Amino acid sequence: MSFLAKVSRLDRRWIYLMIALSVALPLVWPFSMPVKVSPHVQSVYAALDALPRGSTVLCSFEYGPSTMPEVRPMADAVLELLIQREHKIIVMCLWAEGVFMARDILDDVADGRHHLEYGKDYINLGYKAGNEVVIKSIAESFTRTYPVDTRGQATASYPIMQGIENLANIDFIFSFSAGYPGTVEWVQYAADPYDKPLSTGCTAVQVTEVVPYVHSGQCRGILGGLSGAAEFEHLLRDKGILPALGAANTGMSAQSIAHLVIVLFIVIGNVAFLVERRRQRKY
Amino acid sequence: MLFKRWIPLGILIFVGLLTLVSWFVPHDPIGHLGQDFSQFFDILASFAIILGAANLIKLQGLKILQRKRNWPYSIVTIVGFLVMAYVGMNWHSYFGSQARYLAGTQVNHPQSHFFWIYWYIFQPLSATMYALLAFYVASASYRAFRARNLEATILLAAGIVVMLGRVPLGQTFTGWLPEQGFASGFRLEQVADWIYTYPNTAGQRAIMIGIALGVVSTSLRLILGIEKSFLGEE
Amino acid sequence: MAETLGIWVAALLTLAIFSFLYKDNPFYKFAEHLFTGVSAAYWMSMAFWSQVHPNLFGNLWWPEGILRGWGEFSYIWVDQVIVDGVRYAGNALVDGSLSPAQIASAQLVNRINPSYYIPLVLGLLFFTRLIPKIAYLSRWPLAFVMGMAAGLRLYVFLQSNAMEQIGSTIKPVLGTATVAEGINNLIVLVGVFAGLVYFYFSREHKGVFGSISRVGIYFLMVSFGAAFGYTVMARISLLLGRFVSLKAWLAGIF
Repeated sequence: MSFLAKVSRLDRRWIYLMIALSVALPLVWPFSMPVKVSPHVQSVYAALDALPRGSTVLCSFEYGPSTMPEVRPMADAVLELLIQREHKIIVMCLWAEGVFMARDILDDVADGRHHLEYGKDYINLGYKAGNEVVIKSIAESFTRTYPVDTRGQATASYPIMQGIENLANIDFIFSFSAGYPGTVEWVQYAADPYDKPLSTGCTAVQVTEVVPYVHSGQCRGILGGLSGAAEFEHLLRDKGILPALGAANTGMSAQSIAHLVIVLFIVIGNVAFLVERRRQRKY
Repeated sequence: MLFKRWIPLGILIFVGLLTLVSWFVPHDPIGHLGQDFSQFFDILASFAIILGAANLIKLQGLKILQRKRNWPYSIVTIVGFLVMAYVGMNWHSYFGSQARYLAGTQVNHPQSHFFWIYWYIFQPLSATMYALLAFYVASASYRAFRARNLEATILLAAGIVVMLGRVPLGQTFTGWLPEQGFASGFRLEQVADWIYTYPNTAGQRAIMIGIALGVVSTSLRLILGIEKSFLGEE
Repeated sequence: MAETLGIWVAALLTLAIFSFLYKDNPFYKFAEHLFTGVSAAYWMSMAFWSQVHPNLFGNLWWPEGILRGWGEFSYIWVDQVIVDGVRYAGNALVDGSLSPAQIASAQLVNRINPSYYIPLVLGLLFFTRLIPKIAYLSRWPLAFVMGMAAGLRLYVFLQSNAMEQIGSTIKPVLGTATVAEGINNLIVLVGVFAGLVYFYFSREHKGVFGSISRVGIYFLMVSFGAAFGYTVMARISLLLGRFVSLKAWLAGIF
């Protein structure tokens, strides 16, 4: 077997090792590089920036531990922006795993950093089974869908929920999404039928699926994956909202090296394939 | 046949028609019924989840009783299920004592045993299962993705441009190009942005419109009672 | 102590899953089966406490003895506790604001919606699926779910995925603010049209029709390539997250 044929048939465990090293080594020796902010990320900022101070924003957490590395940094940055602009934040989850994801980030940002008052500045309504039908349910009534919050208290008893009957009383919707139900369902069941402004931060896998909605204006911008989160952190730092870059930018060095390694894999694999094919045709 | 076909078909047609009409008629009684049905759906979805859990235990139990291949691991599944179910359903299951115990709050509370199992067992297992995919995608990129024809070459080229254009290191390859003007359009990050904003949108839209038409026709067939496959009939 | 134990458990389970990369082994199988059992119970608990307990049980009739005596469980169902003409929220049954004597003599107001017996019955019928002889009864709740899904999706897919998408595809090509905008609008228009032509399988793809279909394939390949690039980014990000956790664990040891 020729050298190139051997290379193209390399045991997959060597490939796994190379990928593991390409991700692990930059974590040990990180390096920073400038990040360019894309127009879609700019659109997200512009949409949030346009909200009058003290608006009511519905944040929906539909991601779990498997996608936390991608979505949590963007949730952190978005919540930071919303809190600094003194918006009221209503949190809900379409995914069961989203409850603890929301809890984790609210403990960190709302309680730990800003010492917000639960029930007045923000509330966590928790999870309801039913996927997109939950969106239809809250479009009709919040308190009927969520009679109590995650603390077991009547939802209607909180100051933040006074005057919040249903989706009509919400000024903006932000979806932190990792799949189904997620951004697409928010567009279909909330943004379009009730003409609600919506933006989203989602996993990279969903970006190509959601971009048509962004292009048509049904969704105002998109934070796509870890790179989108890194760009948003850069933007907020440049605007003076974040004091420093966050977890998304820390991971970009490892992300960069890993991408380069995979591109090299594709190139080497194809070069070997093409040379072998030419040799076989020749003989 | 009444219980097996006509009643379920009747339920489907009635609920489907009412739900469809409620999009256009918000007034009572249709609007009110539509709201009620949304709540009922959410409740039924919960029952479906609980049924799924019960079914899992039934299958794993049968696997143990029939001594099928790898049956000892089914014991692990059942024990894991029972422990998590116990701490999930028991609203006194906390580390330390609480000021008051309210049924249902233990599934949201960071001091509960339920949260401990979620955070230190469910979360790492779920995350690592998905993290394995990174290795598989790398292996597939090396061993399987071949530019055999023009279509595959276009796919790979678009993929490579997007992969490099979305990370800072890749962006430095064309960092020497000016940031403004015509030439800036050839910077990797600009090309990547352009690819997923325009050609990708076009391709995805064709798929979306096709799927939408399929969903509309299937939904109509269901509501009109033509589609009976869910009854086990053709 | 619980946290330290938890970090070790999490790290060891992570390594057990990663061990599959070398070869299938008992540690991986153990972790995989544990995950299956724990996640099923997790979902079941969340479904029950988030929906069945507050939304279903909270709308049914319960004997006063249960409402009064099972305060920790029934507090959600009680809208008001009236003591000597003073109204308290349902939580008053358990938050210590009322004495046992007051609770014993209080008037309890809870909402009862008879229509909620429908989802109760239908939900219980779901479980007949486990009994082969009467499994056909599970078609009733399934029919409800499917009917509702059909009614909802017919509208939203037509509106959001068809009409809106078509509307934003047909944009001006000439007379736009910039030439680039016009070209991009043309690219989207041509791409969507060609892609739809490709998906029309009722006619043979040859001649002009075949050429347009081929253009559609190229646009779809660009879409899939972009999706592949983003998928790679997503997977690497997930791996990154795990390595960050493992790094924190190792830092705790050394």
